[in-house]
Amino acid sequence: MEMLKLHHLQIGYKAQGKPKEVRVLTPPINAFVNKGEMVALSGPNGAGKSTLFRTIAGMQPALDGNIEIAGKTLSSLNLHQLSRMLSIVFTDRITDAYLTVFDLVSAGRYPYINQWMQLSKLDRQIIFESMEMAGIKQFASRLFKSLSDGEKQKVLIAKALAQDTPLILLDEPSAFLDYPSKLNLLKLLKQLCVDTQKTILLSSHDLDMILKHVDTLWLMAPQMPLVSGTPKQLVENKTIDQYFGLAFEENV
Amino acid sequence: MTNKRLVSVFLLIGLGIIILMMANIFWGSVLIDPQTVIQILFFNDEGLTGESLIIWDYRIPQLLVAVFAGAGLAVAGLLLQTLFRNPLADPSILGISSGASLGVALLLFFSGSFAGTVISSLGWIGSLGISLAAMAGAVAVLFVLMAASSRVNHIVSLLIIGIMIAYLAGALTGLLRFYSRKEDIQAFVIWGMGTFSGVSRMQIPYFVSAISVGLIFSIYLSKSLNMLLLGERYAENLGLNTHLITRLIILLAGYLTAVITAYAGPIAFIGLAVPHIARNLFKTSNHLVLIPASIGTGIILALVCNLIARLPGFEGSLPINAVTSLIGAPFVIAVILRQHKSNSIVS
Repeated sequence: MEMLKLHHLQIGYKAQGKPKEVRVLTPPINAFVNKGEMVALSGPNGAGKSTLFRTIAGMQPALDGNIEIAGKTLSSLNLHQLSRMLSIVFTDRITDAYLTVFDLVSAGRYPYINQWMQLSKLDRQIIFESMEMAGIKQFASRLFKSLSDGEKQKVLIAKALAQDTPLILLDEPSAFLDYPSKLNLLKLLKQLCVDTQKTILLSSHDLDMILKHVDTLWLMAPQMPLVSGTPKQLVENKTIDQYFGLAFEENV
Repeated sequence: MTNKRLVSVFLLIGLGIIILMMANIFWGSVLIDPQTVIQILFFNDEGLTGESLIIWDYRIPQLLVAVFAGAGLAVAGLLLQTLFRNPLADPSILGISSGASLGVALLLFFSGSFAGTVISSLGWIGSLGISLAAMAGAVAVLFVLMAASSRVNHIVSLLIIGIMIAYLAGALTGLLRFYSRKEDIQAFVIWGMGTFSGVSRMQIPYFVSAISVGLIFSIYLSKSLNMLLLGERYAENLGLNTHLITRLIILLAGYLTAVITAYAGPIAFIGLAVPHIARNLFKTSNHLVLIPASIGTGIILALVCNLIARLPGFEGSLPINAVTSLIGAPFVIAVILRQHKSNSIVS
């Protein structure tokens, strides 16, 4: 089953006040992700990865084409419906002084609970299961800001799990981590895909690591079409060299 | 924090408020013995017209203004600190109180220079006029902010616009004061020092209900505020319409500030300091707790300041702004030093 489907999608920016001036970042994108699959999006800086993420997350309008999540057109979903379909782990820093790990993970239940934020038995069960799956149950009552970057990333993954969405997006989840933590994180994500049949799309620059762990790789480069394939295919037919080499030559 | 501790801290705050309220009624610059006060409050006040007047027309209205101004400013401060994720945001940061000051300065200037009337000599009509002018100035700034918020995408841009409006209004106020009459300048200075005794017994119900509506509404924003703590993008991913909520929060904080500034003048520091005290006291980020906690702490701080302002030995009462700043400023310094310390230990 296709969990995410991009059909003739054009991403980019409209100049404010001048709707005719459009900056299109890439040729139209056609791609899909199957349920339970783990896909990594990679490519040199400036390729439009973040823009694609924002567009899929519904935070930026598509210039053309459409996005389907679990068979539903993105533009037909309101914010509340979308919050139950897709959860995102950003690189944004959360700095609040008194936020505990439990508080943060239970924020994943906000789309399901009312104004007074009473957690039901089921909500609590989902929160604890999410923390257990992410391996951070022992931190439940710790302050979020007191954790290491790797642990924080796992808390945010637990929050995404508690949000109970079929699709999880992670924007450069390994960016601030050391080597063992990166490896640990990717293994955890892969495990989640297998165990829970969640669909995961992440962006990353850590090519060596994602090649080993993901099912599918999406490559983007400035003004080049998005290519999709298994890491093995893309390495063997030298697409990777082409997509990253291009940027290298430009920079030199 | 466990529920048990939560309840006991709230009970303690409630007890503190009751004690301070009684102190504010029983204690003032005119000495009235407690028995007489009790008789005036709960029995008849025959033959005690002077004392009864002091209690019913002076101390109780002042007490109520302190209670609701303290609560309202504290909540406005909390709302803005969460919205901007900036611990130094307070009700004055968006230029709303500067707008109120400009409104008052305009009124004093035009009535003095053109109509030839000195507002300060008009008694209660004059003070009502000042309230209305302050309200008009504050609401005008609020309109500018709302218009700006639909045009800018970044919350920081909005913050900068608010600060710039504050500078503009401040500069215009300075110019107007320069050309105003001596008597009016004095009236302006006195208004600028803030007071809890500027609302007459007749106007109290309006003031109290206007602030209560804002406070109740703020509690309904708890969940949205909790989401905003995670940052706008996470909030949006949790289903929050951040654009709408940003405008609602500014409208609500602006409304509370406008009403309070109109009646009590620009009161500093309560809005800045109280949310920090509340967070420190309850060690939580949950606004369902923080909003009532800020209301309670705000009431306590305002009542303490009101008591200090009436300390015996001072002629009349001290300007409330001087007292809130004297208590608030050292506290904000302490909070910042403490935060700095705990951050450096952790990271």
